[in-house]
Amino acid sequence: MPSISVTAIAPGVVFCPIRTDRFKTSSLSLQLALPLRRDPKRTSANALLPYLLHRSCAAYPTARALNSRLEELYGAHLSAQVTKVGETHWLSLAVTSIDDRFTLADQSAANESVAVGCASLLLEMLFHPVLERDGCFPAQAVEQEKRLLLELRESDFSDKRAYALHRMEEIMFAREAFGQNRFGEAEAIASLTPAEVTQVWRDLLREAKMQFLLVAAGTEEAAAVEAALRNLLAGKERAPAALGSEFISDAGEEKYVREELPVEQGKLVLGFRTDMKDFRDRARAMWVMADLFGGGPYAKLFANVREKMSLCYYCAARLTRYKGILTVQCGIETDKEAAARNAILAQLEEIRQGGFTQEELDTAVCSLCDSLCSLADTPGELADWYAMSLLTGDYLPPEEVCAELRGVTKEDVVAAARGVKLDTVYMLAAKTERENGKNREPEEGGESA
Amino acid sequence: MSERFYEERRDGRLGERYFRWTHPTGLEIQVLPREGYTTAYAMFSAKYGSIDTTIFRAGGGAADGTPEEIPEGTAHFLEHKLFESEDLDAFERFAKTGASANAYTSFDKTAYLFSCADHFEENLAILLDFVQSPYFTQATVEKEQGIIGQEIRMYQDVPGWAVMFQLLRVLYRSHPVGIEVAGTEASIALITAEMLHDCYRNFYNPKNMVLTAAGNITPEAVRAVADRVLRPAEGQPARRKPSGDQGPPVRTFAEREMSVAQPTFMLGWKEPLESPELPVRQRLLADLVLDALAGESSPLYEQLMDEGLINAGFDPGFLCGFDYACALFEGESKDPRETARRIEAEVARALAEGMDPEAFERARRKRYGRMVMEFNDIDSLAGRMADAYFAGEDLFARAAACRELTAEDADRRLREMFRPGFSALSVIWPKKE
Repeated sequence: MPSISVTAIAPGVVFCPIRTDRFKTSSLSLQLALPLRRDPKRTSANALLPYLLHRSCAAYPTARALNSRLEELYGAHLSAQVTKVGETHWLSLAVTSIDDRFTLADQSAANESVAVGCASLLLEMLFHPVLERDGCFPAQAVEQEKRLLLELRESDFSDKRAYALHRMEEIMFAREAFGQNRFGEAEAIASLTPAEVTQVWRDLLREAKMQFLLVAAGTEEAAAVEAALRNLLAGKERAPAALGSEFISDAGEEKYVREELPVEQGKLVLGFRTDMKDFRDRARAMWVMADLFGGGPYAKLFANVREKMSLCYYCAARLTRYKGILTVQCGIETDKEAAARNAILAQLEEIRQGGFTQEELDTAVCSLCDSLCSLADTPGELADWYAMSLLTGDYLPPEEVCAELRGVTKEDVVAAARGVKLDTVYMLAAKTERENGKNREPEEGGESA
Repeated sequence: MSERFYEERRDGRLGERYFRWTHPTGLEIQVLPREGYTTAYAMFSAKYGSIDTTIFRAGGGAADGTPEEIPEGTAHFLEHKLFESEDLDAFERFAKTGASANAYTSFDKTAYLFSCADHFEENLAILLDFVQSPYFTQATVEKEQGIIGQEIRMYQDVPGWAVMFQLLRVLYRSHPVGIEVAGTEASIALITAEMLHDCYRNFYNPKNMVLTAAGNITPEAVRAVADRVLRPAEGQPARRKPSGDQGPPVRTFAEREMSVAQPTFMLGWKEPLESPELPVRQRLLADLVLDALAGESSPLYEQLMDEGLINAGFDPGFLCGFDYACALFEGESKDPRETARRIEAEVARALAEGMDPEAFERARRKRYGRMVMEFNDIDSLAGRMADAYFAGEDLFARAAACRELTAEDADRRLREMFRPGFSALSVIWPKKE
């Protein structure tokens, strides 16, 4: 397992190189963590920034110029992403290029390192974007990015699985910052001006916690990135904002919302609260419980709701550790809503009552550990694993976490399941006039067990 | 054991090598070991996909059996059912070792796979055994119809999926590439246990399959398990026959409404083929032509973006397989017709003016880099090895070709790909409430 080292560059800024020659690539990723506040304008501007920044930089001032440069650098892959990690707004930028050992011979004449060139580009995008004389982002670029962000936000509607999950979150967290869309609000996005976006970029350079993760074969890349970072951050004022999430174990009465759309398949989403006090509190036991409940094909939900009852193709549970919540999603025939909901809750009740064997528990742990032990074989997964350490600060290697997972007992799992409470049920129902004959006759006699 | 039972293939520039041999059952085996890796990955694939819609029933009269049409979605249905057995199903067997197992069906193949950090040999034995042990009864077939019915419904709500099949059905009159991989609820209702056994006999012959593995493994370990677990099969596997569907599209436009936020479009050019399978060089050139023409550094991309006609989801790509090939431009657009018109105008301009050498060189460099990057990903390497084998090629052929190709090659290829009268547009419009 390649090891990671962690160097503080400035207050709230760390550089983490992972040196390994097992990959064909060199990659630099950047995580920016900010508090997710109930401030639609700020949330929208934060969300716009990684996308805007990754389209150009002062040295390559148009998207076409930058893309041409990336193609010359052997198709270096550049990406921007915005997510929520609990009530932390998580912005990231990443570039992956081929390692210099694999360039074509004609490149050596130029005597430039592709890996260092790409890493430098990423830093340029963050620190030296294109600015007009007035010190603001160009209006045309901001307008284009607003359109793209609005379309990206809308495109969740076209992905009904994601859409149903977002609707459930909006309803469940209506009174918490977590209920906001990760891309902000449509009206707020539309109203953003270049001056506002530029100010939020300056705030971000001062307030965001930042982590630069490098996975590379040579020492040259790490030395170059570290020196560049020290240079770019020298003399910069830094005041990193405090991060954290509200953990609410009981939000009162169960909420139920049913909406109709002209779709073929209904989507049922259940949102549960847990009694975790913070993201460290019994995190391993909750993870194992969620996996035993609805992780893989060995889990309770797959084995029963899909395989025994034939109710769905997918039915899965997922723990959101940084908010202390558990969600279950499945795609079903609309008229099977009650049957599916009862079956899901019955499986949770089984776990609460200790209705699972040590062998089932071992299977879940074994599967989680197998995946954790594998992640160092893929550069992206390795970087994703350590990325979260920006919040935890622990930089735990996966094998240490495996040891903790193996220590989870049956009693721990039962206790974790007993701390889970249903909060919100959201049903996206199909409203379709179906042609007769195309579909089978409705089944008689209810569910087959 | 010093006996060399394998052939070694190398590419020094990529720093890669793999080993291949033919098992006595006729099964091709390919192994790509990676030193220092924890993960091992294996895939057992049959050359049987959604485009294989004919079987030859044993004892059907004619010497080699009588050809018989099978329902749409049978290959995919069989994939689901092979996981089941009389006692423990394959998922349960893999669960005991911690491996993650899965399977998928595409136009051209069915693949069964697992990845694991431990117990590789045990997992490989499970994989080979369950794929060789069909067990279906009428009751288990009926149970699966409910699950797959929901899988079909799920895909029916995915606009990117719907827009592609809508296009393929107008580009092709009789070629089965327009059939949805999982079939329809009506077609899978016709599937019986007996039919699945017939399909299994036709396609799951070791001579029609390949075993590929990558990661923390050795060829010796793979051979030991294969020799112990593989069983010979009688007869010859089914052969694919060209459909003869090489004429112009049935129609040039197709549309429907769905619950989507923005119109989704796919513009495609069908390429009439002289022989059913395009060689690696031609396939790679098609990708390069599309990158040069409509990639992110092209004038077309910049213009469409600046005018608000596309967003970051715009994606040109080349789809090809047995007896079908088409260039596809997919995206979301407020005005799909205008976007299509712009792309068509750019294609016409390129045909008149020829391939821009600088754009070609950027595309070639990008593709080469992306190919190098793909070798990071051992999850997809086993699949790529299987695809290359079924196409009759070496895993390294694509990278080798990329080092040699020129703008003149791309210019010739451009003219094969875009014939006047061979394009069609498919649109999914937002459904009004």
